[in-house]
Amino acid sequence: MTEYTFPNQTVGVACVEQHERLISLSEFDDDDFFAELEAMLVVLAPKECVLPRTDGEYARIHTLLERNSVMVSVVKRADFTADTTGIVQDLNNLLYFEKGQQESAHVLADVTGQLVAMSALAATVKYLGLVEDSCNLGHFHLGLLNLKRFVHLDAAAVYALNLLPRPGTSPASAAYRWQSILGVLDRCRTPQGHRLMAQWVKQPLRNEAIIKERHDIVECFVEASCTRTDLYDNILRKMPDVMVSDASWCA
Amino acid sequence: MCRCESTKTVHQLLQISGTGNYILLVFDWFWSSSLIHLRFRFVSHHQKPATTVRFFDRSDYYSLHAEDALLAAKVIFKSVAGVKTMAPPNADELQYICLSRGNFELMLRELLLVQNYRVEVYTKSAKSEWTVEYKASPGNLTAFESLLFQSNEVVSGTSIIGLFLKVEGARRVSESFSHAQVVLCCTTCPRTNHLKSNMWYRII
Repeated sequence: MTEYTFPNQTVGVACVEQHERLISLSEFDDDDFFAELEAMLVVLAPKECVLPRTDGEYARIHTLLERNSVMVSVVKRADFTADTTGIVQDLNNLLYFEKGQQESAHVLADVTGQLVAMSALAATVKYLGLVEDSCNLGHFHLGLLNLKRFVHLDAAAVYALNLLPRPGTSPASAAYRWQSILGVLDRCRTPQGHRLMAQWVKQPLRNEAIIKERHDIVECFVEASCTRTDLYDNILRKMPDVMVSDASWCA
Repeated sequence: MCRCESTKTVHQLLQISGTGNYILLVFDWFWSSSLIHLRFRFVSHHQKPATTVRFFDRSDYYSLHAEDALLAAKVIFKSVAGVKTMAPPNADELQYICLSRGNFELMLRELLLVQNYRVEVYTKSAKSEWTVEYKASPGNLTAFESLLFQSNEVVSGTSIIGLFLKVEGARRVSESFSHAQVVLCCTTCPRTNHLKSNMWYRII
């Protein structure tokens, strides 16, 4: 009988989307190869990652991030504090609460209870300086990210399936429109449409009911071709990028 | 755009733009009551990471130096022929390139949205020392948001993640299967990567 020892490692991930004003947390046990983490990187497609260090136990994560072309920024280890009082206070300021709802992040105990992910969030919020900018206060939404909802994809699969165009290709160019699955599907009029389509391609659903619901909406538009052309050619053309201009109005 | 920089300025630019690690002893002197005082200042500069590009704001145009100049020339002009060299007396040579406002915006867009570089913009303060005014990275575009998202064409999302790892002691797993059973175990529970990877070694 042989005995093996494996490190029991918990990965905490906090994702902040500044335009969508969305914070999502996730905490999971991962293996030596960080397979789950890689799937998460594909689903979230972050541009940058905040780490306490790039060597030691983070060496593998660092290579994984580089392979997925995510820029790594190292911040002080002390920013990843285990003490959540500071970050809960920041969340109280940042989060949007419904009318009548108790204005405290503690009501979201299932989210804020994820201590490892909360440490990661503390460092990210500090790095971005979210609290310093008064436009951000009271606008963010906090949620849990559940990877089980999406098909498990890794970087190699995304590359092999030609899912996404090369970064930086403009949506108007022929290279974007015909050289990847996203490009072929993406005939959106507005920037937020392009973003949503990219998100749907990167996050293929698994739940039949939700897929059906999405198909029903598509069917509705297929049948009402007049409404569709009117929307596509007249109304959506005039739509600005709401997410971005929202931020600039506030400033 | 005349590039007649004083030796001191070139030293400063070289410190900020160069990728080398500089520890510089800067001493300047001044007259006071007919005595020459020598003032020593210890200036050390951290190594500039290759993934950071530094722009120098010269109010009506921007300049880039050393490696950054070469990169900008390749990105904007598709040729390094436009890179010039400043060589004032008693100082090292320093390559530079000047970018107009329009080219600066192009370069920002390319660096931050496509090639994943960090960007720092230096401005000259009242004491004629270069200091960082704006900083941005692919996940944190707030400083240049109005510049980057002017046109409706930029669509990429900018999400950033924080990652923290907690390693707790060690989990012990005992192996007491015969080899045939191990293979069976691997094929039936493909999600336990730990077991799989380590046990395959055993089989081989």
